[in-house]
Parts: sequence; C-alpha cells; structure tokens
Amino acid sequence: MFSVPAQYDPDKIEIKYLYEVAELEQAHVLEIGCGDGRLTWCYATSARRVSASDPASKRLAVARRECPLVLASSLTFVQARAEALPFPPETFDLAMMTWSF
Amino acid sequence: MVHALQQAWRVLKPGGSLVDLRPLAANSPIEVVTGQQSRLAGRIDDSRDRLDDRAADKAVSQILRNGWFVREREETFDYIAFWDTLEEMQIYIEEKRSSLVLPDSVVAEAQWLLLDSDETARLRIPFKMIIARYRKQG
Repeated sequence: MFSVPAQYDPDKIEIKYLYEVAELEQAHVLEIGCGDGRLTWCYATSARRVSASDPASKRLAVARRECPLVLASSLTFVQARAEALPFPPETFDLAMMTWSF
Repeated sequence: MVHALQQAWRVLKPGGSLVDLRPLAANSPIEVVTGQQSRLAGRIDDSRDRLDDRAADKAVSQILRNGWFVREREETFDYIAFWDTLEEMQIYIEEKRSSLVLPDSVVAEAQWLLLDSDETARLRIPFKMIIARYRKQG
C-alpha cells in the first residue's frame, strides 16, 4: 500500500480557531489539560508566559521532553488536577481548557 | 466539572477570559477517500462521549447562571484526521480517544472499501469540535 504518515488537522483549522477565539497576544496563559503539549507548541510563542498543567505525570514527562528550546524561558509545566489548581487568585489573563472536559 | 470551572474563575484576573476547546460527540463518519472521491464506511459510536458532553454543557450552564462568566463567542468546526491503514486508525482511537468505539461492521466495510480502492486511498474522520470564549465577571 502507498505509505503516507497519519495526518491530523492538515489545514490547521484547530489552531486557526484558537488564534481567532483566544486572546493570546502578550497574555499570561494557563492551559488546563495540556497533555503531551501538542497544542501548547502551536500557540505559546504568541503568549507572554504560559503555565501548562495536566494531572498525568507520563503525559507531562513527554511534554517536558519535547518542549521546543525557544519556549524554555516562558513555559512552565505543572502537575495538577483542574479541580485543585496550585496558583494564587487572579494570576492569569487567559485560562484554556483544551480537550480536558 | 463545575469545580474545575470555579478554579479557572479563581485564578483569572478580573476581566480575564476562559476558552473551552473540546471534541463533541457527533457520530462522525468514517470515510475512505481517493483524490476527490469519498465513500462512507459507517459512523463511529461515540455514545459514551455524549454523557460527557451533557455533563460539560450542564457545568457551563451552571457557571453562566451563577454569573461567574458570560459567553462571548462559540464556534464549531471539523478536526479532520487521515490514516493510511485501519491499524493506524485503531491505534489512534485506542491511545487518544479511548471512549470511542469502532463497530465491527464499520471496520469490515472500511477494510473492503480500502481493498476496492487504488493505492492512494486513505481513511478519514472529521471529528466535530467546539470552541467557546467566556469572560470572567465579578
């Protein structure tokens, strides 16, 4: 069989909508349910600072390992459940629940 | 879920926004595509996700009723995935979307359609997605 790798959202529709709906520019962002960081890499360069949280240590380990160098100074990973976020009140400009409901 | 939304409200600055991006259960079609042509193999069984959707919608309704947030925008779109083989598609669903079920009859039909197509044929599922933005109040 003709072999082509699997493709997910080849036209980047999800990212286009994310940029259109979320107010990312220069924002301090909390991503709730970042998983392996698939989506995080796509928007984090537009934000001022990002805290990406997920309850699963394995998925976070993948995200930490695959984090692009360019994001190292502005992106922090935190292991946390959405119901118990370890951040002070009124910290973020934008909170994003991504595939996490 | 309401507790998670309450936490999001707590950590947001006054006037901050919450974005909710997630798949929606929509009995998405599983298609075999060759060039511009597509043939339907069947539909995915996402009945377990429907319960999650209902719970999420209920939680959102509650936070809107409570006055924690107001909804500013809501859109739906398709997140399209392509695979070269049935095995690749099954692995994706097992690893990333384990609540979904591929009925045996649909798998058999997809296999037959792949065999009946030329070597460029691929499997495609357009997953329905929702994205919404809410503004913190209070």
